[in-house]
Amino acid sequence: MERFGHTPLSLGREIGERVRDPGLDNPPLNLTEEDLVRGLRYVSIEAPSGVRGRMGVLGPLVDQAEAAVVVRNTAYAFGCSGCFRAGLQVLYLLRRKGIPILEVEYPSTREEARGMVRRIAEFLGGLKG
Amino acid sequence: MRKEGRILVISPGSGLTPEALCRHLVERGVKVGLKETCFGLVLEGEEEALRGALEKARELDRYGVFSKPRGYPPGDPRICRASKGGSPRMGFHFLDYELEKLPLIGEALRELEEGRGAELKGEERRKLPLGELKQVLAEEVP
Repeated sequence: MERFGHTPLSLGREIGERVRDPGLDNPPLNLTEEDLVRGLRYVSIEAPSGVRGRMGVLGPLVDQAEAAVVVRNTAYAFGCSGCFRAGLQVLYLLRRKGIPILEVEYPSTREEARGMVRRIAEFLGGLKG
Repeated sequence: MRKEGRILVISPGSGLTPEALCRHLVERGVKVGLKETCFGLVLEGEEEALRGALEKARELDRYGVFSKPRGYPPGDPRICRASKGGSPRMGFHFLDYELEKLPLIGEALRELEEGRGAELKGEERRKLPLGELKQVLAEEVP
């Protein structure tokens, strides 16, 4: 994203803001009650707490997003099912928001990598205009 | 000014080592905290300084150094494996998976920026006109 002149909305940056806050001192938890309450804006109360907590952090990022690149075929990399369900919810919210979305797959060959990079570059270039 | 964390990851296809990258940044006088790791460096500093450090790191290998923001500061005891009593670092599996893909991405970025590979664009995806579909049918189903 940054190479093509755009600003990615990063989960790392969000977590960084929280863990540098002196009020948060109960590791390994990096969420506060406020995040869980905020999560209710994006999922119902029946949703598993893992999904709700994640949506408390991811939801505001979806609100800020002006475009999205979704990378599919992530294998095991995204961890437990809570992450996966939260990912599905994020995808649902993005589609409902109606912003430009590009869906690509993680590459396994040089050809696929070329295709992926070219598609992302074209997509991001089109957003500028 | 608020501090941020950043991971610099060296692509396996690059000839760089974390030590060489670290020395390069120190010699150029970047004003960020640095920690060498097995995959590259963890940086911490103000946003502007981090951006400068990233540019200087890419002077060495533009297509071999990748970065992403990191939540916890380097050496934070809250997630340090020493204080947790073992187990992989949080985010390790994700990083490990992406590390495998970096040589491919780096190569693709190089080709894109050098203008090569345009001829490999391939056939554009579109709805096939009926006439062409009939022609394909005639060829495939004698």
